[in-house]
Amino acid sequence: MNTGEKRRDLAGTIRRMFRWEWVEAYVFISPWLVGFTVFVLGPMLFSLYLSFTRYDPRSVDLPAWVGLDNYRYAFDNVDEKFYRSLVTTGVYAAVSIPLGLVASLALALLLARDLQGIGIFRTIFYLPAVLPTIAVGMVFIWLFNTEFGLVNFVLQQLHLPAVDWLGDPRSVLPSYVIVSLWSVGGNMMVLIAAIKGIPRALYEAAIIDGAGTWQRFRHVTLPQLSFVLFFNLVTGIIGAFQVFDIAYVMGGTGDRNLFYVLYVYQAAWSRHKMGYACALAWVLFGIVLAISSLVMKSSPLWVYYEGEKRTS
Amino acid sequence: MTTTTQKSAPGGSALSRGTRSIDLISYALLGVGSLVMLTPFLWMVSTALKTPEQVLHWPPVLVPSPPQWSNFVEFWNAPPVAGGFFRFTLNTLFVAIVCVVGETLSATFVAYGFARYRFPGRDVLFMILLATMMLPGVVTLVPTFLMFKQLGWVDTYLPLTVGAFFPGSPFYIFLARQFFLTIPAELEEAARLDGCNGIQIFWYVFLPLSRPLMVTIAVFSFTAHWKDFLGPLLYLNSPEKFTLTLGLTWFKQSIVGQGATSYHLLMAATLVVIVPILLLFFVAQRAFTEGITMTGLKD
Repeated sequence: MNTGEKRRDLAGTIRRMFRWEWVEAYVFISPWLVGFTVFVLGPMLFSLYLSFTRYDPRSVDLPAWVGLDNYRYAFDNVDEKFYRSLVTTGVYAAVSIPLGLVASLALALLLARDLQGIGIFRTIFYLPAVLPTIAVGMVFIWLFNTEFGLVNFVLQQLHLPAVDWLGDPRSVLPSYVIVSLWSVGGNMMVLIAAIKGIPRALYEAAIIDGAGTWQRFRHVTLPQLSFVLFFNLVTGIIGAFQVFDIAYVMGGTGDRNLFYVLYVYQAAWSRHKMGYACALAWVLFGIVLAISSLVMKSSPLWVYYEGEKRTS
Repeated sequence: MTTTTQKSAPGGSALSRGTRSIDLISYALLGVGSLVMLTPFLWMVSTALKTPEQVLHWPPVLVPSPPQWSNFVEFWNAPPVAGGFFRFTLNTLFVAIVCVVGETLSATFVAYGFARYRFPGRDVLFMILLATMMLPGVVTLVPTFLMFKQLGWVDTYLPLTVGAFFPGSPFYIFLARQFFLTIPAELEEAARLDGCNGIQIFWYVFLPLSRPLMVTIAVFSFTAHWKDFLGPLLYLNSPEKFTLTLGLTWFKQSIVGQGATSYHLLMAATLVVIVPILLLFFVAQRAFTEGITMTGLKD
């Protein structure tokens, strides 16, 4: 074994073929490498460290190591707001995500058809999704106004009782779900594109096999869309756990709008507990990671990938 | 549900009676749905054109007469800061445009490296890049804030813009890489023979070919920074530096004590936050929809 020779050989190969290309490549990706280190990896490590400390940036004291105290503080229910924000966010996710998936799928099926003027309808349904959340919040505060809001006016016309939307603890979360459904257009557009991409031959084959409308939907459309639905589900979970802007603007009585990130924000910037806020952020990261990987683990059961054999 | 799938399935003559009635049902559903979707817009415009008395009128007046066009003059100076919403608009434009330039250039630059070179570590690094797309931003929020605070950058626009030059969102890199992968290799081989280096090829060959890509990234980036609220909320303290989203919430809090009487001005201001995005949407609709569908169709 002549390792020296081998190494020289390798070095020679490297020098002869690739080196300049590599340097050029790394020059190209260097902005991202710098950005990743400075704005992602560094802060993540720093945040993990801070989560084991007590730190108030107003004082001159450096972060003080407290071990697992921050995590204990949250989980031992010393801070009851932790569980409340977790439940608020969890319930919101559990209601708004499935409703959003069904609504976007139903709309996409309607809007993927080649009807006259369908483009205008697509635009109308997609439009709310591009608006700034803050602006959406402003409009809905006014729509949900108890005394003068349009929503209660419509309820009155239908002889239904008025609702104190953001003032009654029971209707705060439903209000947020309604807003989320108004902005379902993004998912809908992705689904429309996917529906249009389904090969027509599959439907022709299904018809020859005697499949009815429902069977074609169940055994052709749904499997073909399952990957996109899966993708929308995962991004929906991540999105639901990151709700902040709308909760900050719309508010809601009795902390019923205490979405998790709003709670993290309050811990860090109202109560100046930076260490605790970092611990909360890592708990959120853990939860999102756990749920997403569960969903991904389950995906072979219900997501259809091209070229895969499928029974049932 | 059953009716709606009918059309995606071929078969039967298009003019058959069944298809026509399904079309009618579809139009009816779409019409009702569109009305529901458009109502918040109409309510906003209607309120923005009301007098304070009409705002408090019950039942609500949907078409105010005469429309108070003067509201659109009045609201600009409603926030108690020199320049009012006009100032906020300029601030927002400044931040958004700087970020658009930063993100469009840096994202295409980085994507070129990932798309057109083979180098050790490429696939691992690109996997990491994709993984960061899934990372909840809240994890890095506190340390990033402390870092900018340490640098003395709080209450400046630097925390809102600097990140854009190290492409703020990995999604733009992903988009650009997908685009560059479709460009045939002969182009750069020819440029190499002419003695161009990689940077020159990127600048003189690839960027001119990438107009649609750059429009897509620019549109997404502009919208994202126009919408941004958390960034300005954390980093801007002086009202004269506020962006529109922050200025709007600030204005809303200042009128909370006045009950519903100032909603006409609040809605007029909200329209100013919304209208540029709507205009951008109608001008660059393709960019919007192409970008959004690409997010779902990656594999």
